[in-house]
Amino acid sequence: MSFPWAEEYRPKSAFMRWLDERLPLPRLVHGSIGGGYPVPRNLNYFWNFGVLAGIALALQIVTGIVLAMHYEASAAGAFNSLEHITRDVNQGWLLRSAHANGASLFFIVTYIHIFRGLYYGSYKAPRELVWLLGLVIFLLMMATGFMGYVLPWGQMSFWGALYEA
Amino acid sequence: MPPKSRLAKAAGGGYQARRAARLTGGGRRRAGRQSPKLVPKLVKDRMATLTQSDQGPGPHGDGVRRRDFINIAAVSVAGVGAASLLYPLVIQMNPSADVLALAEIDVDISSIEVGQAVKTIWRKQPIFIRHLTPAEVQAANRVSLSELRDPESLAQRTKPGKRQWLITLGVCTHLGCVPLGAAEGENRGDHGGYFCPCHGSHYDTAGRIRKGPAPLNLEVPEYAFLSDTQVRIG
Repeated sequence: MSFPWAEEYRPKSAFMRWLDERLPLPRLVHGSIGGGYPVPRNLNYFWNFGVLAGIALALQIVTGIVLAMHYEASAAGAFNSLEHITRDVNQGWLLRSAHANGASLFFIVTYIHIFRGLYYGSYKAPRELVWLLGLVIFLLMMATGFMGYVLPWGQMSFWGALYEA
Repeated sequence: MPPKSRLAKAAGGGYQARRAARLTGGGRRRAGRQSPKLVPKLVKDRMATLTQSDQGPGPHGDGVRRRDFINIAAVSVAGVGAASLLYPLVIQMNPSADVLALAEIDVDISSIEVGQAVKTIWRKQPIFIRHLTPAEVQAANRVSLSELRDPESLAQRTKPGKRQWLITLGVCTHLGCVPLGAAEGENRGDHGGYFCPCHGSHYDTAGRIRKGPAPLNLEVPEYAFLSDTQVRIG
């Protein structure tokens, strides 16, 4: 879908024109986050928090994958693997801290993003589905965060799981 | 009527009303007196800035513009930031501290008596440290290199001044079993060194293969004597 005031997608190189004829993916990206979606003038900096949430997600995914490579998924070895990560793996302390605090960052940014939506009416037509999908993302965040907190298999994990569920 | 940009029209009416107005072109816009005035002014401003920026480093090299410097500086700082972000992600694949700690081991050999051998573990592999008797040293030196499958003298396999210390990997070079002969009472094979029970490889007092299917002598790891009683392997 393109908005009437948006910049039309015009592929520059021959390869991009060839691609556009066969798969409208670059056109889709252009229309949703590129020049085809001009940012309205009545925004303020609270509109940055959505992108920041995306960056936080990317950070969590990258650090999470790296941590998963060093983690041992057994009741006996999980906590020890975390100690190993924190003490022995090169920059492991940084990766673990980044992931743990990155989750907090993700939530803070998401709350501000939600409050922006509530205050400025970003959930109103035609953006109802955007809002609903955002709620789905929020639910997934909470589920993922809960599961991640259990992984160290420590005291906090146990008691947190006990009281959260 | 105050001048209204197309976007300011969004202030009034429902979404559908605005959309309809927009799509029909908005009669107001075409008949409007303000919008055409705005457009030429904006275009004029834009053209002005364009001509100003044209005075860049032309073919005669008019010098680096301030914006170029800022551009390059900003991109460089961003590059440094990106590199520092990638650094931990790459470096975490390097051997972790516990692995590095095992890469070298210090062994105390003061308690190994003459004719005795000990087994230890280094990098997850067995190591035989044997204190050769003078007779064993002579037996090893008496063997001529031409009759060896893998010709090496005892001197090549030991350190100068420490010829009685034979340090080898306890891994048979045939298919990887741990040979017998290091501990008390184990079969030492026909040549008095080590004997591999898996397929019958016989090693002599210098750990060299003499009989059996193994192709090479027992491997000598990198090691150094820290003192007369301490050996660092690895």
